[in-house]
Amino acid sequence: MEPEVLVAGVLAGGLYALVALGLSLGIGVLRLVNIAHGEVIVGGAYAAYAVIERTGWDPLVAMPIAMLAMAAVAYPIQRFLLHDMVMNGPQAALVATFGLAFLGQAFFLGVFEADPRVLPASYAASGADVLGVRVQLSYVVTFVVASLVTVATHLVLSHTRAGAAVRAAAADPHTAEVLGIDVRQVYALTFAATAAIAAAGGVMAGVTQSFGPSSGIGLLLSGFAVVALAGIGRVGPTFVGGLLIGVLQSVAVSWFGGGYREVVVYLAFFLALAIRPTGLLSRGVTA
Amino acid sequence: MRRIRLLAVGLCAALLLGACGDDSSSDAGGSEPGGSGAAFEGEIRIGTSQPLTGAFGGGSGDNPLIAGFEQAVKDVNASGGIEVDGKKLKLELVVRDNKSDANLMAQQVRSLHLEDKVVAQVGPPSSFGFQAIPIVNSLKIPTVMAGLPVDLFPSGKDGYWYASYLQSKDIAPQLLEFVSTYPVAKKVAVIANNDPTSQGFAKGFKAAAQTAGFEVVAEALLPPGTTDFSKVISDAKSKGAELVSVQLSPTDCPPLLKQMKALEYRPKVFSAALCGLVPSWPQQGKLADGAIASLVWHPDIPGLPDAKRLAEAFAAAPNNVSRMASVTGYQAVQILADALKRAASTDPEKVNAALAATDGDFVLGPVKFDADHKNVVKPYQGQWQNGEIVPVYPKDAAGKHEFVYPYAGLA
Repeated sequence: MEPEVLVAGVLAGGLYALVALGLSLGIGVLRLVNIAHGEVIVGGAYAAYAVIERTGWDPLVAMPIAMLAMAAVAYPIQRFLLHDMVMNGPQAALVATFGLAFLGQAFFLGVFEADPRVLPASYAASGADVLGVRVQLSYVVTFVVASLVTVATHLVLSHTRAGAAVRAAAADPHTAEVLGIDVRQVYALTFAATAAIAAAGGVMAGVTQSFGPSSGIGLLLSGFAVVALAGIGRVGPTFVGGLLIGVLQSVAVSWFGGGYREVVVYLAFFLALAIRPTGLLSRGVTA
Repeated sequence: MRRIRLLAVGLCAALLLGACGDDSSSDAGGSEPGGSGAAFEGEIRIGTSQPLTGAFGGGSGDNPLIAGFEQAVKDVNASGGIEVDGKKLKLELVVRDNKSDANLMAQQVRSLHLEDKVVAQVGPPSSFGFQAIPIVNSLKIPTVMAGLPVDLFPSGKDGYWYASYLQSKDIAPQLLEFVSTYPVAKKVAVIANNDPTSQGFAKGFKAAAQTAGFEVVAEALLPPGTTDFSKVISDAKSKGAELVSVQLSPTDCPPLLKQMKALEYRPKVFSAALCGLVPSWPQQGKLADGAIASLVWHPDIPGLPDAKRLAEAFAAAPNNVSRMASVTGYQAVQILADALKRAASTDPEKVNAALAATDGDFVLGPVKFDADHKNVVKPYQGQWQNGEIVPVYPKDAAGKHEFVYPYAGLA
């Protein structure tokens, strides 16, 4: 295998890790399979686009605003719409997020039209030499962003009181309520956090690729593949799972051509579920 | 709590149903009363099913093809409408939104004829146009297709539909003839999506390249949504391809260009047959400058009737690619209106016969349908320069515009 295939795959995997992290936390903590997660990612890209159109800022500067915007949209949806559905089983919430996905696409189409958009950045088309291999600088930036978000998420979950509350609510929400944890608030804030992480992924997808109203589904499917590999709700394995998907795709493109890029993702998804449903990279315990 | 839950479920269900939607109709279009002051004694309706929303839609009110249809209707009414059986009738356009759904499009082509009583239609764009053919023939609806390469259609002989546009097989030879006048190595990379139309284009381009003495040194057929073009870029770069021809969806071209620049692959000529013809192409900034795409109209091309007037009529469009789409739509209605005037009747057989006998100058040039009900419009090569597309070949069409060589966007 040529080194540039491996390096390019690892860097591209950073985007998949970012896309999957929010999805994994949502399933692990809220037990919510958010079918609208792809639209949240695209929403983050559009939010950044709206800011950049008006200000001319770099996408990395617009990213925190996009993250806050999507968190602000997600919080009331979870708190006032999805929470009771989630507490009574996953099916109703799953269907609800399906509807939200359609709504999101229709909204993007109505406001931003169907033409694909890109987020302009000075490094979007630049190259860099990493370990002697020529790669796209935008993917290096994405990898760094993904690493920082993953580390921050891990630290919050494992070293803060808020993180302890999230883990308690994830383990047993009813007992957590009894112990005085406001589970509705914790769930809403967690959902908002997953939306913020997704928005960061959307911004980097907008820089490295392009996006349109229906771009979310492809990103969502990639996210599911990573979650299947990594296991649900596990931050570190999700990051590694993202890199693994990136490498698998890069190798598939190199060996068989671009047409097999998506085959690899779906194959990994089904094999992971078939061999070890709790995740190939997990220790068998979910969040 | 239960009520809130039920309310939430109900709201989501309603949102889901609303978002999915059913066969809803947009407002019936129609033009303003004619400026000539002519008193109309009735109306004559034509219709169209278009993807105003959905995957191919641009949002309500932003469809350049519809803008072209409406302007043509307005101009027809301003010049006195259509005379049928001695009565001056106002031309009315009925527009239906098929939400980018082929099944809905088929239903609407039928309902426009059977319920809305339109006497003729302007066809839906993209591959929907092909799917409308059996319906318009079975219901005998005189139809003019808008904006699809005519060689992609089957024969229209004995049918009720007509197509006037460029031939996709004319594009590659013209491009290669043009490129051959510049110091470009005769090595080409072909990158296309793997859907049947794009594959057909790639196959045609390869054949034309070989005829013109070019060697295809790298090629790739990729699914839409591809973001990793590293293999074909690496192949093209290592084998010295200085001409790149792409037939990719609009979402695929930006990542391709970014990757080409990042990997320091700088072809001298970049032809973007499909993605280069979206109005949002300039959003990529400098990367977009220099791409070539085929045109059928531009306000600066000499000899095209009414070009300046139409450029002013569509001045609000973001660029000349959008205006070109409007003029394409304008031509379709113009041809239909001309046939209705000559037929002086709403009888489908008479209108069909009048369409077949079309022979005149229209906004994209001369139109005379052959036995297959097709008219070939002349293509031109355009190049994106500083956010606008300009004609660069043939020389007599380019006028003051010069071809910028090599490809500026990747310099």
